[in-house]
Amino acid sequence: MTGPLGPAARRRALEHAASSIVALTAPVFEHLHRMADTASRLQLDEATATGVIPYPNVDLLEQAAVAAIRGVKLITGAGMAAISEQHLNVGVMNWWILRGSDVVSKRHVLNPRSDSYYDFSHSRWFQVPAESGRPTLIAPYVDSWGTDDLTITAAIPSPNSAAGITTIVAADLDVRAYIQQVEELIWPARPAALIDSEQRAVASTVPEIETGVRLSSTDIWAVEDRIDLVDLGWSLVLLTR
Amino acid sequence: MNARPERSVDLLSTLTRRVLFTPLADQGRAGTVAERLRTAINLGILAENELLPSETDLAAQFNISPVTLRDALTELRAAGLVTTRRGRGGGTVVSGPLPDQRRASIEAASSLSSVDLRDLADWRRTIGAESARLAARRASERDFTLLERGVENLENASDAVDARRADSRYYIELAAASQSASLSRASIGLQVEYASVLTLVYAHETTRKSVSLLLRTLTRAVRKARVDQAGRFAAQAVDVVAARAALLRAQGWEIS
Repeated sequence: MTGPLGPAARRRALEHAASSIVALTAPVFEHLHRMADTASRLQLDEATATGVIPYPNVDLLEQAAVAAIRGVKLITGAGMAAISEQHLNVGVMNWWILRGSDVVSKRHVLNPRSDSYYDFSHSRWFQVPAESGRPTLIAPYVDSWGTDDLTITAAIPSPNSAAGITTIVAADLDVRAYIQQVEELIWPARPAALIDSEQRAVASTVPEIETGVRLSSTDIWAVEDRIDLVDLGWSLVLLTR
Repeated sequence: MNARPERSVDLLSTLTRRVLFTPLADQGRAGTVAERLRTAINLGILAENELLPSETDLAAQFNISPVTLRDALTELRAAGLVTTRRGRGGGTVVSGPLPDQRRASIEAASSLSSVDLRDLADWRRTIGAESARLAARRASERDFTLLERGVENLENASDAVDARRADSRYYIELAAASQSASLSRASIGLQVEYASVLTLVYAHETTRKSVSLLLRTLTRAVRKARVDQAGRFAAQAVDVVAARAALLRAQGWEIS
């Protein structure tokens, strides 16, 4: 399957798609930076020991999260999680989701003895930005005991976290809408794919390269050209048989 | 600490809870609801100190009237399984001390016929094997780490309830690694449906060890992208549990 464009035109189409794909999540990260600023002003020493951010501080966070959910159509949920080195078994997480037309607080189960336990400190969206210290976009994954659905999560570490406390603010994106938009953006450069840092497809124009599949698992397609989306840690690739 | 005025809180959007609180098919009675909650608490699916959804949300979810739900909760309070705090910041919380989970598991498993048991194993094999095959093609580095941690949790489980939880979470992580939301949903459904059987099976340490070994091999096959091998090991692990369950049932679930 080859598109109608020649090599130079495909490369231009890919460059255009690259900037458009970065632009898709730019407003998400803008909101996350605001949320991170808010989170950095909260005193989390006690909260990470008790699991509760006291009222009225939590309201500040809620306002920022609601603004993100209301302000960016792609965002389906947003919030913050923090854990202290001193209380690794506790942690605190506050999250808000869109339910119908309302934004409601979603309470995750943070009790390790429960079958519904949401172990956020071992989740990719928490660990990757905590380790890298940079904004991160987590490629589609099933968020078990969270959304329980295929999810893309944008996350950034909160600056000025107190010593020994790791704080991450994050937003879940509507994965189906995101992939649909990416597929449309890369279609002119077809055959092409958006791949994550592990060379797994986020979206592609090739039916057999489904979301999640590693490019190396297909014998038919090879990468002809690529543009690295440095801010996302992902790449856009032109494919050839 | 200041109390926060309670607004709308979503305690039902986690799938395990939606499975536990599935609406009753017919006009539910308090006894049916109490029984469902009692089983979930006794099996450790709902843990000590876990906050239940509000009475209004829970009644709507079960498709029963708030009055019926209150009757069910009264029954559970009388049995010491939950406590209710009224007022702002209150709610119904699962309380201890933990009951005899082995006895509760026997009661729940005894209601399963041999056909039910076979059917559950068939479904579990289908979900597990297909999850494994897809995970071998789609899992990320982080998925491998989570699966390896899951095997360690099963190996280090201190009792049958811990082992049951570690096993269920492993299969749910495996389904998540397959990137299929539908397989994840099915796997979470099984976490609840198969809980009593798994608890009884995992009282047997040798079975625990056999399954751990198979899951470790399965995890390695997923990491190495060996699709068919991963599917085979997943099916074998399910079959070890199913065989033990059939034996236990034949002996009235009483041997350890």
